[in-house]
Amino acid sequence: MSIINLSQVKKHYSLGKTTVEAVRGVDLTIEKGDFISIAGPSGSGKSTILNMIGLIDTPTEGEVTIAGENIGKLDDTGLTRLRHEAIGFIFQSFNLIPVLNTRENIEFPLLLGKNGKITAEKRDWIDFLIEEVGLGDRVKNKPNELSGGQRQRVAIARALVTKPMIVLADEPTANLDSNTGEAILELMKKINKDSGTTFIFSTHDHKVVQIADHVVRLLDGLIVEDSRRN
Amino acid sequence: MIWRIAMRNLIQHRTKTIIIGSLVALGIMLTLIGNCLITTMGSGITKSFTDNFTGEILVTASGAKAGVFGAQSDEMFGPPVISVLKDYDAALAKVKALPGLKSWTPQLSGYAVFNFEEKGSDFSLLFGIDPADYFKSMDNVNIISGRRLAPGEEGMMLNRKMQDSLKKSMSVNLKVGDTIQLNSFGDAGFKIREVPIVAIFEFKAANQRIFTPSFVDSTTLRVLLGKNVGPTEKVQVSKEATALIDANPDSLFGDDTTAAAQTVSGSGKVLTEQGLKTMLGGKVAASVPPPGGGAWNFILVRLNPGVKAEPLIKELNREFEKDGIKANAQGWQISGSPDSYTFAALGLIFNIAMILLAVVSIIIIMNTLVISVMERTSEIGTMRALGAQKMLVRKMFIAETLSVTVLFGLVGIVLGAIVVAILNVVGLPADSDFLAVIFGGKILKPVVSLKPLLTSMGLILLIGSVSWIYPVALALKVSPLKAITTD
Repeated sequence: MSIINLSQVKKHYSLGKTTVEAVRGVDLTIEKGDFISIAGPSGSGKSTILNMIGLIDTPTEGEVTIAGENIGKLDDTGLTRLRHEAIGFIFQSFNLIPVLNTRENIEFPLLLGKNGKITAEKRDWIDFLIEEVGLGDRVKNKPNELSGGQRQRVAIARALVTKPMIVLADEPTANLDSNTGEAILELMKKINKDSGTTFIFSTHDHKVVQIADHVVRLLDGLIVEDSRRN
Repeated sequence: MIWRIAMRNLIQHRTKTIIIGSLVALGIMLTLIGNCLITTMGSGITKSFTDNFTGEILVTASGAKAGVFGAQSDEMFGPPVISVLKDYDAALAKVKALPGLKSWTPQLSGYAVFNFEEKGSDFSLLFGIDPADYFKSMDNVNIISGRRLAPGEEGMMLNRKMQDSLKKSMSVNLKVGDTIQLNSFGDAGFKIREVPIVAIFEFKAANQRIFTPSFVDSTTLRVLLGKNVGPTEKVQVSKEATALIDANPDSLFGDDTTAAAQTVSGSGKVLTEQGLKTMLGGKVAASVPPPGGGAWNFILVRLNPGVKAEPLIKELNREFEKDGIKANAQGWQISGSPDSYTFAALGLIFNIAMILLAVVSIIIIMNTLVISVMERTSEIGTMRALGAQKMLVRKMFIAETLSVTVLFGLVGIVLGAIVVAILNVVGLPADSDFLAVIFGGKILKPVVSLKPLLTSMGLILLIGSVSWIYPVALALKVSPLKAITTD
């Protein structure tokens, strides 16, 4: 079942008097439960596509459909609501809120939106995620008291806390050493298998590409490979 | 969560928070102290004028520009002309119907020359009063020697400052029991009166910088000013009296005629020879002043404690206008000038300083928050990416601004209140006459009252409510994309 559809998507940026074509007509379908890697060199358009899928950027032309909703027809409030309900983010630089501790950072997305209260059920789910990412002894620590790997684990738990259909990870291992990076990837793969959550990576880390079961390669804003592995 | 983030951000950036907070606290503290001083001074100067000179409400002739001291008169040369309250009885009837009325008293004001023949003369303000009514309403004098004027008595209570001035300038040492010659020259011609000094006094108010009025009985002042001294009601004249109109003019100066004049009566009141001479401005003393009649310039109205004058002034003026009474009710300020204007100017300067302080505080807080927004672009972008609506970002910055301003504003209020309390105990002495006027007394003991407190709190809310607007507008422009593009 497809969860994301990109149809003839183009994205142009103005750079002074010139226009940069970051994405030049991309068609892409992502299925529910995919563990997909969008790979390519710098400037190939992978981050732009990830931003459009993550509803933080809109296409210049073409159509992007997320969970059945055409994002071109949504205003800022609608995009924010859909982003909150359907998508979790893991950033290259972790992007934790500096003044909140591990537990508070993880529960933060649950406080947004209409049902912003932390119920017992939600509390149990947070506890489960904290244990799952191995941070049971770091719940009170602030981001500046955690290692890079620990911060990324917090980011993973935060991305999953709203039980989103899609988790977007932008270069999730770029700021981690290789061992920690591998551990993080294995953790995400395990969650993908256990929960059926769709994981989409933007990366040029070959280890991420190796572990993915759906690989999309980009070059100069166009898809040059779209392959699936069994 | 919003408050938690706000408070922790403030703590995390504690240096910045302390700088902004100290500024807010200092501003609020200075505002409270200044406001308390101004309010206390305002109460002092108002009380000194209302208790000593004007009452809470002063009823004057309609269009009169002069207060009890004659200030604000249009007269360019010679003594100020103070309008007579022609509709005195009608105005008084309205005054008597006032709710909250404690007492009232009529008053004349005018200038006369103190004549000491070859030693010289001096010009001074006189209050013409009916002592029975006046001192019931105005407990405003300290008698240094002698006694108060008695009802119906002709005489003068001499202001100690005037006594001192005469001693210095002319070596005239006036004391109780002496008589003083008063001269006046106006539309009604040249008038001379001689009155005994019954008291040397000083006003209880320290505010005696410019005005040194002395008291005389109203009849004496009326004569000097050439005002109507008799009752204004219609007089029924007997046949015997009207018969004098047809009499031989030469015979009028005979003894028989004088005897006949003594029998003239009107409204049950006897018009005596003495009274007639008084009307003409003769040197013979009038033993009985006209009861309640004659010309008056003012009605001084005292209100019960806690009764506000402003609504009653409006009410009185509505009533005067409705019934066509040519009178005007007003506060003490018309009489208090230039002191009231000096005080009003001081208040204005203080208010301008307060506004400038608020603007400076707002700009500094705004700039600091703008820097904070720029530093936290990634954090704001992350929150937006995670699903935070713009409203949450707005609330977060408002919470931070309000936390700083309210918290440190309250610190400012507490510090300000402590300083005012210390000043209350120590007291600020008035080293000059000017300060005595501004302070409304010889020593200023400021108190923390509700109005300054509310003003300070209002200022806190103003700073807190305005300074976030521009930074929040900037923060709302931060795209979720910044979460990815900014480290």
